[in-house]
Amino acid sequence: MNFHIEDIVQKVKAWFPKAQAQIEAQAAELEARFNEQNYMPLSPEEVADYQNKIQSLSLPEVYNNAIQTKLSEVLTPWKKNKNSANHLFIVFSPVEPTQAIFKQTLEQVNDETLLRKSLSWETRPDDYLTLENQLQSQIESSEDSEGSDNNTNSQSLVIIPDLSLCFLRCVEGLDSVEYLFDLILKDHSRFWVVGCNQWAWNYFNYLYKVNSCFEHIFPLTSLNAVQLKQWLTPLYENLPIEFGDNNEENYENKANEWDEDQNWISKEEKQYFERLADISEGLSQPGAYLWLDSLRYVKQQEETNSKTVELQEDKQEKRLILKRATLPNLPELTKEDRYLLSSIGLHGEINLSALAVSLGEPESQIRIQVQGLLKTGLILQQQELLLLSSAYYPRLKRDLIDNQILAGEKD
Amino acid sequence: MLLGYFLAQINNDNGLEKASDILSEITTSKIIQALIILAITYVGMFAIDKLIHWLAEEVPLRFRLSVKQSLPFWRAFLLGLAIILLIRLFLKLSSNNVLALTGTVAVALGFAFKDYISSVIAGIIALFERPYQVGDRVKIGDEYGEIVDYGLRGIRLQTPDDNIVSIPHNKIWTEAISNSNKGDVEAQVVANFYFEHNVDVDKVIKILYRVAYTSKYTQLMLPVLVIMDEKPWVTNFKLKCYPIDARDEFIYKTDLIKRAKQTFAKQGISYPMLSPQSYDLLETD
Repeated sequence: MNFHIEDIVQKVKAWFPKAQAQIEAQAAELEARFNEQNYMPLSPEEVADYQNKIQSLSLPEVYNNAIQTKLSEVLTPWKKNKNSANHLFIVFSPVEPTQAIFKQTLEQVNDETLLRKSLSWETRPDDYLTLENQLQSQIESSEDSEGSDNNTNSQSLVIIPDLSLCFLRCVEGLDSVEYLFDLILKDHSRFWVVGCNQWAWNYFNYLYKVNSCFEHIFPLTSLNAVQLKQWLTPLYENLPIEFGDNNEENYENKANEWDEDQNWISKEEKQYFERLADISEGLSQPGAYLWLDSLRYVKQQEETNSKTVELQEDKQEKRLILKRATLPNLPELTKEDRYLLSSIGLHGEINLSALAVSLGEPESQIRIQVQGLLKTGLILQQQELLLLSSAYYPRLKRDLIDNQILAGEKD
Repeated sequence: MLLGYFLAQINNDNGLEKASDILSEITTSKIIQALIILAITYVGMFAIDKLIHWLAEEVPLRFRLSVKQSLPFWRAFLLGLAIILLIRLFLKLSSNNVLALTGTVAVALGFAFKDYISSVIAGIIALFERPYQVGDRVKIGDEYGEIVDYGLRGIRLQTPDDNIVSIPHNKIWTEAISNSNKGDVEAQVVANFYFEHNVDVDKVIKILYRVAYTSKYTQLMLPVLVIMDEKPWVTNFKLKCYPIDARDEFIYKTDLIKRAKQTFAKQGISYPMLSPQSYDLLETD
């Protein structure tokens, strides 16, 4: 074994800044916890109101532009030569709204030479034994009525917004994706645009080596601090919001001094969004929910003089502050909880009976486990479907990687 | 007895005066100090044991074995430190004295505790050769299980039936040691399936691969393999794969067999009907 002193020196040199950054981050987190007593949380009604506002935000323009650019880049060569790659796989995080992104983005593809077909499933079909047949009939029949009338010989564009809906992790539940991958490789008369969540894609890579089979795999762009700010601005643009843990005077002074970057109104704002983008891994949904989690009211100073209190009451206004964004701590998890959470992430969203099948356990047992996890807030239930909480997602992913349950994710 | 033997040895060579040169004066204060050292060592060993086991369960899975494997070193360190302190307390160690002492002690202890010393030396060698470490799943003789403790004299295995079996280290001189995971958290699991010779082989292999790839316990980063073997009475399919955590070995195997049997039943693939004699032959095979 070769032993190089320089390597060790380099490693030590690289380690120090990392360790320093870690210590600073821990110290800042501790400080933020101490400062917590100066703030008041929003009422549940206000939180629900903001949650609705987040859900009604149009998706980041960056996503739209990135997908459009990539699509035209790979579609044009195929239109000229059918032997070129006939697919584009867009890989998302499990907590991003795949269907909505596809709907918004691909609605704008107005190519009259293409006959557009789209998989209309919004949820996974209940009967996983017939997934392959159902997928086959959908692909064959779901033609866009606009294009089908006048273009019998035209090229077609097949859109599958979420591949996670087309499989279930069980012995018979993989026939459908095997059929689909085989069809994509065989049938060059169609161009395929397929969305897939990152965990499912890694799973398929272990099973079918999809990274080697397919040429155009496009991981969705992550948002930087400026893009995240621009996307979240409609939530608070009319509100006087402060950033960080500074008092009003300091804030105003620093805001006046701060003219170095036109994207930011203050240094605190820049620091806030840089941190938000960092801890949310540049993902829109975790970013939005962590933003909401950091929104607080500033507690007013208690006045002892009754006259002052009376005067204060008249002009009392609740001041909103975006305190330092932090990731919520994970609750205690058992090994079985981790298996369950990884299965939910793998399928994006899944109902209880399908989840039980994917875990190979009785439904009654999984129901009890799910109830416990719903209480912790790690998973959410929307109608019948279970999905991972966006705010917990970054920490959960880290935990599953550390426990070697999430295979294929970057360390 | 040992001390008498040891003093006699010195007496033969250099006379009793020399023996008193080696031993320093024994005072009440020194005895109290020695007792304190022994007590601290005992408590320290206990505390390290508890601390390492607690920490190993708290850290993420990928660090678990690294933490557990540090236990023998910490114990050896603590014991070594205590022995050095005691020697410094009671003996005057010049180079001549050390030579006389080590030679004599070695002979005396060698006779008195031959097997014990053999186990201790084997334990020290095993620390460096690493035929097994804490957390490994090993088979020594007829015993199989996870090493839960690595002591001075031997190891302790936790068997699948939750029994604790103590095995001295000196087994490494004579016994074959089969280690399933060798310092990793994964250990290969082999599930055997038997079918008649005319079974649809491709179908069975496909199902077995699927069963492994769809189990929640499977470590996908490690290979999954199905191999076949022909017996006079049946065709044997072996499904070889790894669980994420070696501790799940038996529950994982159960999951594989359960889901494979369910699928074979759905697909109409039945198991062979054998005579009782054939079962005996399969067992001996």
